Amino acid sequence: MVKMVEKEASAGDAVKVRENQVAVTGVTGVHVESHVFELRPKASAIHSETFTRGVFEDALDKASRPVKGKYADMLPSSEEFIEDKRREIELEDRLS
Amino acid sequence: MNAVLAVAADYANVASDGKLNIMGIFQELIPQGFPSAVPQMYLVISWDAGPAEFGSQKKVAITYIGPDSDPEVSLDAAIQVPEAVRPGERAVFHQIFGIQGLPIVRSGPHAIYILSGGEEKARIPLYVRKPLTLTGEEVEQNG
Repeated sequence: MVKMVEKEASAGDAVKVRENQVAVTGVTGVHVESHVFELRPKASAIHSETFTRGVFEDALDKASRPVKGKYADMLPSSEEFIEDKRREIELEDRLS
Repeated sequence: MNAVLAVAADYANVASDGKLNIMGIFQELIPQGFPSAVPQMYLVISWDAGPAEFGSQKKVAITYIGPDSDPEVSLDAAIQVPEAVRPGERAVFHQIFGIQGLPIVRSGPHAIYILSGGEEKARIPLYVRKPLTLTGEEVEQNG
């Protein structure tokens, strides 16, 4: 039986976060964390940016090896992706 | 309570304004060999619930099943259904599982089943490919 965990954290005025206890069965060595994010009533619009470039790149580093998602190998690095996009925009600007 | 979105991804979070960010959604895994493990992945579920369910507790079960239909990993969690942001609306809330070390021991069709109250609410197919092997020519090119 998994109990509710009353551990709450505020992720900002508009969101409430609850951490859930998770029971893992079947194998050892699997670590799982679960969080539930709910909007607060009368949520106010906050335009802070938490999904930063640092978060993006940290996630790439953590998730890329040794197993990749289907399209992960199409983005060798965020730097190359950004450079490709910049070249595409420049080309479109020249053509238009 | 229904799962209106369920995906496996490289990363996910919820911004302070309530927006759900998901990056690198995948349906296939490419291990370097067997046995292997996914070092870090995120399982993202968006739940939708009606007013009659507000405040109730729900059991959520996640089961990872391989080609032989035997559960390889099972996760159990309990969640409390929140109220809707505005009266008269349904509550939508997000659950994010951060999973480290999901085992990969064979190739073939796998899936993550998401259940609430013992009923299947969503299924995420994950196909595990055979490990990549280099040809003789590729070995020469790559040293």
